[in-house]
Amino acid sequence: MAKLVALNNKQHQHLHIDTQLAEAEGADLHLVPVVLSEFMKLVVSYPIVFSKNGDTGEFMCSALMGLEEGENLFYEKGQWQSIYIPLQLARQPFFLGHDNQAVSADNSSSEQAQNLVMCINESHASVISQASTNTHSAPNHNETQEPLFNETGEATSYLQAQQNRLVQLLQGEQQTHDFIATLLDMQLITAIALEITLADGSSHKVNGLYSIDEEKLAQISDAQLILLKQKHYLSPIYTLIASTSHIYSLINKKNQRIEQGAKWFQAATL
Amino acid sequence: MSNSIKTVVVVGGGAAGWITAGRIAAQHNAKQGDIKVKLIESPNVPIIGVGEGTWPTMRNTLIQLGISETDFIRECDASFKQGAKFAKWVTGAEDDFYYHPLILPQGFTKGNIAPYWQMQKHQIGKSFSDAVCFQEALCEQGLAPKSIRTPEFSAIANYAYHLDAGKFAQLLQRQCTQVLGVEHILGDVINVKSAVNGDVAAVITQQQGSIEGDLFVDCSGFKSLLLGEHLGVPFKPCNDVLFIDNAIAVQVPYATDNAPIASHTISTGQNAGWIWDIGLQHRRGVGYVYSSHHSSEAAAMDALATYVGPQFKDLSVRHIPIQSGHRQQFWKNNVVAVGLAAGFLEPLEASALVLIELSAEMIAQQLPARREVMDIVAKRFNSTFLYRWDRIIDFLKLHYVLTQRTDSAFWQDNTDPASIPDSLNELMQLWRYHPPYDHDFTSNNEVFPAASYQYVLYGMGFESDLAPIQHTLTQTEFANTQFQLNQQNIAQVVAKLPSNRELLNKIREYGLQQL
Ligand SMILES: Cc1cc2nc3c(=O)[nH]c(=O)nc-3n(C[C@H](O)[C@H](O)[C@H](O)COP(=O)(O)OP(=O)(O)OC[C@H]3O[C@@H](n4cnc5c(N)ncnc54)[C@H](O)[C@@H]3O)c2cc1C
Repeated sequence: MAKLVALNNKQHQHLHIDTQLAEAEGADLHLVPVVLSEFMKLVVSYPIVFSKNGDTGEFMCSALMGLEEGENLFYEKGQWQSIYIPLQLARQPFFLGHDNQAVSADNSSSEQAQNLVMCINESHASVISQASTNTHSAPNHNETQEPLFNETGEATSYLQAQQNRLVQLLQGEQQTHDFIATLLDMQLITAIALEITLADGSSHKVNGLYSIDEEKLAQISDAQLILLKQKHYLSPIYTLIASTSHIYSLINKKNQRIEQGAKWFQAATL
Repeated sequence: MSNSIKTVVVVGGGAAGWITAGRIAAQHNAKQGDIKVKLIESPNVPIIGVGEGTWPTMRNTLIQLGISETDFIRECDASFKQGAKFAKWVTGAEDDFYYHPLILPQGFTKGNIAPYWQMQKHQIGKSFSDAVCFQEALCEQGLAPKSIRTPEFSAIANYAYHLDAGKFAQLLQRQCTQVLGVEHILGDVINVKSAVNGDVAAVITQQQGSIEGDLFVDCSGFKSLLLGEHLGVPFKPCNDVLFIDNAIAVQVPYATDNAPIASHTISTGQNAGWIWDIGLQHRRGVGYVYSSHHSSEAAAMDALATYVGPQFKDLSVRHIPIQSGHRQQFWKNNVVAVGLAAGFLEPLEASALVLIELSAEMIAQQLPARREVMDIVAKRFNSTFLYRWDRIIDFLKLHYVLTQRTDSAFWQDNTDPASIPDSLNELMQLWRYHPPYDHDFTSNNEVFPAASYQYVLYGMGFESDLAPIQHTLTQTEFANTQFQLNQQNIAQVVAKLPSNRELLNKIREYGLQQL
């Protein structure tokens, strides 16, 4: 069970976060929600697609990590094999929550935003209540441990970076929501049918992925084009389209895993 | 009145009137003024306001009318219907039930597994519908036919709807008048002006004077104002086949806001008829349709009260007389009747709205361009729909003829050979040796697919004598694979689909996506 509490430099002064364990949250996710402002970084490694939120059916932007549920082809041997980790994972185990005491009866949205405070999931595996001493843990483990506060109770640069990520996510979610609504309105989103044949001859259908309909995009009206330009959506649209070709590298990665698996199997039966 | 068909006048603002007006307006661009569609509705005569069960065809009707599924579900208190559960139709025992789901038996398009089920039913240990179709399991567990991620009108399991008839008429009206270009006229038709050739030239309304038109669609309900009263087309009763002639209906609130919503119509056999039970989002619609020759009104009220339970005494009961039958023809001169004005049998299998949809579709698609060709279209329309009414009568009667109930005259009389139409009798003879399949139904105008006959026949305990055709039954392996596939399908869908209530709540909150 998640234990969510507002972050506080007295109560949490000695906490450390094991960043490697924090990022392990994404180890078996094949889709990770992303926001518009990180598209430029995502495009280096991941296909960016639209997928549907399982609880609400609403569209969201996601980085595609694997070709079936529970598969993350970028996470291997206990760590990420990629230079950029999406904000949604990198921010773990922190999130923005409402400061209950501060919230007044009036919940206008601006009021709410002001009342947001940084919180921590105390029961997250990455939370270490005291810096582990050298005698108790492997040295390489120590390297991935970050303190939250210094001796005088000020936020460390690690914590500040996490704070910035949370803010970027909050703003990004609203912007991404509008991006999707605009594209839906112009009927520019289309389902992609992925039928993949792998090295071992098995074929897979990957369902539930959507992208931008390039044919329709080529036919939008001038008024629509101007709207997309004014909203600064042209860049993310083309970034998203360009990122789709990473699906081929996913297939490669998957084939490599299968080959490794086959070798392992041979070795085991010899 | 002109020779070109430019103005269509629909009389009546129930489901029949609005669906027909809307389909014609959409197909013929009434919005752009290519033709005019006017709908006259009496401000004094209310619509019948019952009729809450539909067929999957309703999804296409909504698409054609440009209504979003999310709006429809939110505004019409609508819920999903995955077929019907018939309780107490076979023996009347407490545990007697069968399903008529909306999905074809597994592998149906490749082969007929019904005879294999019959041969192995004791080993299989499952009813026909449960052995060949995964939908019964969904219904029994109160699950929805799709998830919040399934786009509008798409299905994981085929479905129709349950809806609030009054709210549905309002939504149709709004779409027709605000989007599709139908002109709405409030007025009581009190007279008809005839042309020399016997056509209707205009209808005279009390409030708005004379309204002229080239084609008149009679959707005036049981009255059948234009086709029946004015043109005198006789009514062909069929109460010698189907005995129901009365309905008493109530609206039953749920005990709690989160009570489960059945995702199928429950139809429970009674002494002199049956009770429908339809779950909407905020209430159930429950009614007893019975034969007054087999039950007094007081006894019928008692039966309904027993079914509903203690809250019955607080509910207001509507009484609706039913005359089962239809007009001898549906299109005469320049008048075509749709809905109750064309006829009505009984609510069994929700066949009324589907006929309205089919009628509206044919009129919209084949709307005669000029008066000269109207009689040809009329002739085709009449033969198509006479065929359809006959098939529906057969199919409804099929539900009764195999009953083993001997506890009341209603059920016994229903098995009297004199009450069974020849066409149904022939099929029953045929099926004694030939398990029913697609090739028994050769017309393009079938209303119910062969699979529906299978579900009802085997549900009612029918068996063919397979000995004479034993040499043709060589597909045992194929059949066994289908039974296994169905088992797998059941496990899969049951694991991933939400409850009917949960999905409906989510649609209210988030809506369904278009894709
Ligand atoms: C007990 C019962 C249960 C049913 N259950 C089902 C079911 O589960 N599924 C199903 O598909 N169907 C069912 N039906 C049938 C279904 O209710 C109707 O087919 C459907 O509602 C269409 O009705 P309608 O539009 O033809 O007539 P109505 O709803 O009666 O509308 C008639 C219209 O004509 C207008 N009108 C009448 N006289 C005049 C006049 N003089 N001038 C102007 N306007 C006039 C009225 O104002 C009204 O707008 C059921 C019917 C009954 C009786």
